[in-house]
Amino acid sequence: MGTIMICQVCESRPATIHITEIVNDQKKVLDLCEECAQEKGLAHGSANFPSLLKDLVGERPPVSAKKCPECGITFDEFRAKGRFGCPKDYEVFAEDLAPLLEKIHNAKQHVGRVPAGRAPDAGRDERLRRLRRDLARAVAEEQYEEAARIRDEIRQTEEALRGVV
Amino acid sequence: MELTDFLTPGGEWLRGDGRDADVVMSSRVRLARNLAGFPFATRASDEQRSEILGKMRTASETLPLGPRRYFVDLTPPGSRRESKELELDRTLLHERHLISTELEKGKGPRGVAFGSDERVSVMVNEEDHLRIQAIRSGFALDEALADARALDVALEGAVRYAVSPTYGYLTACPTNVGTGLRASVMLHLPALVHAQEMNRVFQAASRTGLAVRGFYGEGTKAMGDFYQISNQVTLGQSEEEILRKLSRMLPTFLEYERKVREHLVATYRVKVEDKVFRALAVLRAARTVSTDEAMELLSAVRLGVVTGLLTGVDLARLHELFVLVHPAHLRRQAGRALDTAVERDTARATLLRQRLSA
Repeated sequence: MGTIMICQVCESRPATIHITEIVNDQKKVLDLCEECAQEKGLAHGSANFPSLLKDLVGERPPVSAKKCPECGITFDEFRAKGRFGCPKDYEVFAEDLAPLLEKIHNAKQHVGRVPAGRAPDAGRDERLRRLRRDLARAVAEEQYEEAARIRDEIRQTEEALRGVV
Repeated sequence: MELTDFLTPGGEWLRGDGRDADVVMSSRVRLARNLAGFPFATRASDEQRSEILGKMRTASETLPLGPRRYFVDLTPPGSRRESKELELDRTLLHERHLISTELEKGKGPRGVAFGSDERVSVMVNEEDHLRIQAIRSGFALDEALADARALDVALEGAVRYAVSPTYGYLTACPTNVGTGLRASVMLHLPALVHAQEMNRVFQAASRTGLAVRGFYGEGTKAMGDFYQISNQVTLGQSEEEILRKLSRMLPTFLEYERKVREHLVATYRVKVEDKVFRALAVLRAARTVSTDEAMELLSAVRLGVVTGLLTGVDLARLHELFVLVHPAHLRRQAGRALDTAVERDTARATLLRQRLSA
């Protein structure tokens, strides 16, 4: 490292924290000083990357160039029409869809009925494992609001599992 | 098929009974479903849509649709004369709330299955491959959900749904994903409209995450002071939870309408009576009546009946008129095209005179 990097936010202090984020195959590097990183919440690992990037770079994160291999729709096409092309799109565009679902439904996990014999799959077990791990971390970090939210989600997921007939 | 049996609406939801029927005309539940292995209807080819329609035609033969089952293929045929007939059928079904505006106006192979008591229907190739719908008279969301679910369970044995463990039932539009459930109640709010209180209803609804729509659902205007109130969130809440939330909010709207009705009758009794009896007099005597005027006058008469100011008018017969005054029903009844507005308005006035004569 021959040159001294300057923080991209305050543009005065030397950047000591370097974060590389890959968004849709595009590499973005953030160079921040300790204070600015704190302010952005990066020290707690709770940063919202797309909006952070937007703040810093002043542009919206690049839209996924992904195309559904089954129906051929792109996320831009979906955005223009408001309709997906096929069921697989939910999987292909999961990442881009998450904030949208959060906005519409304030949720990201189905908890209602599912067809008989179709529910208890590996995906759900994996999600429960992940949620429990997140819960332990949140408790350890004394993030109690977050912990409460995760607890709710675990309860909902388990209830959905039981609701299956 | 000939929909000649459909001159008189036999829809259970028009009976005017059930809980809170003074304000709640009907309760409706719809479930959006899609078949795995096909593109969504809007992106499917005509061949694929035909295949889905065919599957549904077969499946409908064993579905719990009601006493008599109907399956209407709404695919536009080749000849123009035929397609005119079909257009009338489509509008007729739409006027009866058996199909949505989107299915009526849509393109390509599509259809609907329903029972003769018009309590349940399954639209095929609307925005989603399947839209299961159940309507009941009065406030009866639980019963409507039970009806829709019975169809859902039966269909689930016949076709493979597109489902994800994370997102539940996958739908063409992410606003329906999860349960695919839209629960709505059709409210008759003449007092709130008259007192210009509807803005507060809209505000209260949007604050609590509910949508307010017109007589024929999404994107339609309010007619006859009817408004549909429905849930918006479909993901992250179970079907029962969605119904519970809507039911918890509902008394607020009902009590509000009832209070204003009571106030109007207590304070301006003669004026309200005058409005009701004038409406009835016009309906019994006029020689031409437009759709909007008919809906408005029928609304005033309904207000008279449910507040007890007017006796001798049967609520179920009155409700039928809210459907019969629309153009396709008039055409079917007249047996001719009724191409001009004057012809239609005249036919409408004749019908109203006959049906409401003292």
